[in-house]
Amino acid sequence: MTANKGCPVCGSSELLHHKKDKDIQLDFFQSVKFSYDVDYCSICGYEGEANDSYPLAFSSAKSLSDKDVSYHLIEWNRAKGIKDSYFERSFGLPARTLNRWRSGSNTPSATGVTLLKLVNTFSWLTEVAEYKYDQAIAKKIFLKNALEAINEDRLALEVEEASAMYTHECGANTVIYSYGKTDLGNSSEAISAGEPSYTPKKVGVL
Amino acid sequence: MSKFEPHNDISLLIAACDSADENVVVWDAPKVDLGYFNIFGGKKELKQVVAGNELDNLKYVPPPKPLDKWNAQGSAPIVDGYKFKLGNKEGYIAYFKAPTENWVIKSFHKDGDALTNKLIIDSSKLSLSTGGNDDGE
Repeated sequence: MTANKGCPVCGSSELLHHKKDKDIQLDFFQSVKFSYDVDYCSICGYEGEANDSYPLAFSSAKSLSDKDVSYHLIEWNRAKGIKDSYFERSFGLPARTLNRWRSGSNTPSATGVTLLKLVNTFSWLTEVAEYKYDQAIAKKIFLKNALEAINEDRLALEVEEASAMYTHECGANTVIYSYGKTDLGNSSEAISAGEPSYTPKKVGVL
Repeated sequence: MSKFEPHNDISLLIAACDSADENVVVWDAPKVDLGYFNIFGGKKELKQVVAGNELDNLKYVPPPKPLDKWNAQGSAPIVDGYKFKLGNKEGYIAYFKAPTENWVIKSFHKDGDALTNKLIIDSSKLSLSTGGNDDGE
């Protein structure tokens, strides 16, 4: 710490200058770490930015972070089956640009990183772009994907409910049976009897 | 000073943020969480947000309260707090005018609904219940 003077709050001369570390979680994909200059007053306890180092340090750290996150986003898109060439045809973003971002030889633009994040979050946006943003087709694509997501959630919920309803010890393994929602009328009796009164569907083994 | 009216109306802070002649500082404390509102440019950007009248649905959170843990000379500055909406998020801002005549933004964070809503309801009923905004401390 170095001595400075003139606390902006209490006016005391007991103002000290030091560096402070910051770690900001930007979003699900990205965090930014940097340090900046702060003043601290030992009399009133004030602490605040000493100069304009904060925005400069942040933008510099974010630029580095953008390089790193774009590598991962491009890799994740590839893993989801979104090829660079398909990305290029859909969004008009050259595959060589993606490769430069991925290798770190070029820093991606803020809009480029945002596009990668959006496609990673909603991969069906690629399909919307492929159909030239036709509103009617876009609506169908959105609804199709929404229904699929709802069905996935419903299936997961049903399996969870069924496994909570009845688990049957079978040797070293626990066999999970699902009866389906319509077959659960006498489920409490079935559980108390220790055996299912109707034919269960085996959905998994733990 | 009324228990239910601000010591310094927020319009004064907004005017100060918009003025080149007045100094506004931001207290860098846990109660300042600019990242929650996607403000990443530090105090400079926060001042632009306030000066640009981006804080919507401003509701005063009574009562005005002396700044806690004031060890400097003179009486403690009086802190005012407001609820606001920025984009789709609700937040809370607390500020005061320091003895140095600088404006100080002491809090800027996600709104803790339970307390601030209670204080607003209490004030609207002109209740005598004692409470405090969460930043007089």
